[in-house]
Amino acid sequence: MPIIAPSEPTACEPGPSGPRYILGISCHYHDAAATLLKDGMVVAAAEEERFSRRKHDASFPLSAIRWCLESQGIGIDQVELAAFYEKPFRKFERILSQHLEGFPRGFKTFQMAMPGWLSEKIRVRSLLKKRLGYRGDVVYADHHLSHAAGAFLPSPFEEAAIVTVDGVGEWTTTAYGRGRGSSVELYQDIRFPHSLGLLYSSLTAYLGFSVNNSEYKVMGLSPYGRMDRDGNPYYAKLKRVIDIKPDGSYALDLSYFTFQHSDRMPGARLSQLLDGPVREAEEELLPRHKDIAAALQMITEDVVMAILRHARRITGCGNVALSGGVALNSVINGRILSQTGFTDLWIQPNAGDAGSSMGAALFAHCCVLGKSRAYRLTHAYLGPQYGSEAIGNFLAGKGILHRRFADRADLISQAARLLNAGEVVGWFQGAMEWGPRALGARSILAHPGRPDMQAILNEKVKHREAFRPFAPSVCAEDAEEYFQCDRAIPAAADFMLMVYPIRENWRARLPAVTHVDGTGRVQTVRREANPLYYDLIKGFGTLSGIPMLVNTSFNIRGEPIVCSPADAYRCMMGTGIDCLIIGDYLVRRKDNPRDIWDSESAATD
Amino acid sequence: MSRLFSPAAFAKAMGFAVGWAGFAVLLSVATRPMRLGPGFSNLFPYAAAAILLSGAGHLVRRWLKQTSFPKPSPKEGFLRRFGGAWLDGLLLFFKGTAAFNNFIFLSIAYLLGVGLTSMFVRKQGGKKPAAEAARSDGHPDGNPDSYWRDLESAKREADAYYRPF
Ligand SMILES: [Fe+2]
Repeated sequence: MPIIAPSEPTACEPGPSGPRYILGISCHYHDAAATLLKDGMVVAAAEEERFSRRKHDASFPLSAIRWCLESQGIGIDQVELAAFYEKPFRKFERILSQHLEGFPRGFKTFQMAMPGWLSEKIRVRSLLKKRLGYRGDVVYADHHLSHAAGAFLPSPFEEAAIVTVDGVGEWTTTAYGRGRGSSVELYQDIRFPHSLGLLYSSLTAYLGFSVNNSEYKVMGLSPYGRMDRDGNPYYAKLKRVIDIKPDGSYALDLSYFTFQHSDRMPGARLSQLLDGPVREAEEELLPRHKDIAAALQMITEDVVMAILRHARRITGCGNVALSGGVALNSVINGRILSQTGFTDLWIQPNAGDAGSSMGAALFAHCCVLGKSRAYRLTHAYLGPQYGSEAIGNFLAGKGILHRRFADRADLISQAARLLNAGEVVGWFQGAMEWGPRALGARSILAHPGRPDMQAILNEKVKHREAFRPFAPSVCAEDAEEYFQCDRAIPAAADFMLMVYPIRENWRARLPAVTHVDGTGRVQTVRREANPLYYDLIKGFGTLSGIPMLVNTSFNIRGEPIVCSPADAYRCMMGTGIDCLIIGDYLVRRKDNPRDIWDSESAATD
Repeated sequence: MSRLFSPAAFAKAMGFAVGWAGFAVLLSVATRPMRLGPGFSNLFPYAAAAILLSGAGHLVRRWLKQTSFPKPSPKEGFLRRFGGAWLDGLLLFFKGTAAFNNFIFLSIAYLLGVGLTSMFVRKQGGKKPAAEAARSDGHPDGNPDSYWRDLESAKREADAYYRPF
């Protein structure tokens, strides 16, 4: 099926013999991804999982790279430079030294890690040659420099403080610095094994959720516990685990952890401290678990806010760009501007390791090759998109019963009518999102005002924990009507990275998107970024009186977000989504009974 | 009938059996110079060793949580499906033996390489590398009020980024 590249930004500085392409790659730890720059502008970016259909696929992103190249109609020989998101030898050094320290406790993790390291992880250059036939130079940016570059260089800021917090890169786990013009500098760091990300992951494992996957569930669980530093006993207990200095730097008491030498994260001492053993995945969530999630969220917030205040003091910048897995903690993000003295905040839509493929590529362009910084990321629609003809051919080829909308206005009015009637709509339009959130290109949409919508979505489609609410999309200029948000609302809200309190008078009218603490993880939609989705929200508002939609990711539980029309159709037919609006077409589930299947029977996660 | 007999399962079993037989023969040839076992006259002990090795390897794989993602099977053509399943069976056998070999080699590397170095470092009273990078017992740069360490990434030459270390 022909795939069209995302809308191409204006290029700058073409090379003497045509455009210069830089390929950014991140892989081998968390989500693998590829980003392609053309004369310094991001023209394509996608995660490998969307192609391989394996959630959080960390393997070499061959399919994502191939798509990036195909989208521009080029071969690998036209790529001038490859940029890798970390320094593999330094990371290997850290892993070896962990084993030296932990001997003999690390026997199992040594067995688990070494084959991968020795066969390909350490030899990125030969891997590029073997898998892609690439023979050019490779730039290796440090893990947190890639994060920092990915946070600052695509941001709207000319100058900003940069803060990166994640599990671990080579050695660094937390860092701050400053970006100015086309330069990125990290001033100071905290190193492994002291890691806020690994603390969060350890507690995620303790609470019975999967590590590197379900940290956001812990964040969602936290308001059910006591969000009170004096009243929640686990806050004081967890304070024993981490020593936090006034400048935000911290050290873990390692006697509570085993991640340094084991594949299990929480140590026996941690279980003792938290009054019970590690929770099994299917076990009931007790008030104790909720309090622990709340305490962890409060401690994470303490550390992040202190780091941000420190970075503000040292850099003197009014803006801040955030990156690393911890930057996906949207509850904390929503409080940054009111608590740290920064006046504006930016987080790229893919703030985790996948986003570092973009960071590494931009770092190579600006900081290694010394080219000027021209790219600004204004929307997240950087993945594959499918034209009307391709979608029509797919539907016809598979014999799928469908109908074509007369025009754009018909599409919007019909979609708004279906949503207002309480139908759950699969929305497949334009280029796929870059990052873990569905932002109106590969989304499942629903009515936010229906009291039963959360239950309907959970029963029909998502089958997720009842404690997690769904996120709302609202047009940017309407956000203040419904949310007590920062003014002006940071662009990070466009990427669903900010949680704000929903105004009290609206909470009861927005049951599907209001969390237990009265907050909502809002996505602000700007017409210039996604005109179709914007117009749909407005059209729905005209019918329902609420210009807002429930927006949840278009995927089967345990699978990545859909990428192609075939994925979208399969997802609709395997779940209880009522209809699919795909390009110019409407496909109804009940019209195609022969393709109905039960995705829940095969779901994982 | 189709419920009782699955051509794919049969092909997979065939592939596994071929791998098993091939490895048993290989063992008998490889151990011949060492005069281990009865030689070609009786392949049974080699076959037993081969299946034990593969089985042990699969236990190791399970212990290490090494899972293979299932490949989508070709939908069209009986021969292609049969061939694919046959290959899956062959690979199933050799994944076990490969895992067992890796386990042995890595165990030796761990005990001799990591173990001896670790004991040597401990005996010398030297700092452990990870502890040196982020001292859990104190503060970097001698500052008791902070755990921050200086990075000064800007001082690096551009050339440094062309190196994987
Ligand atoms: Fe990272």
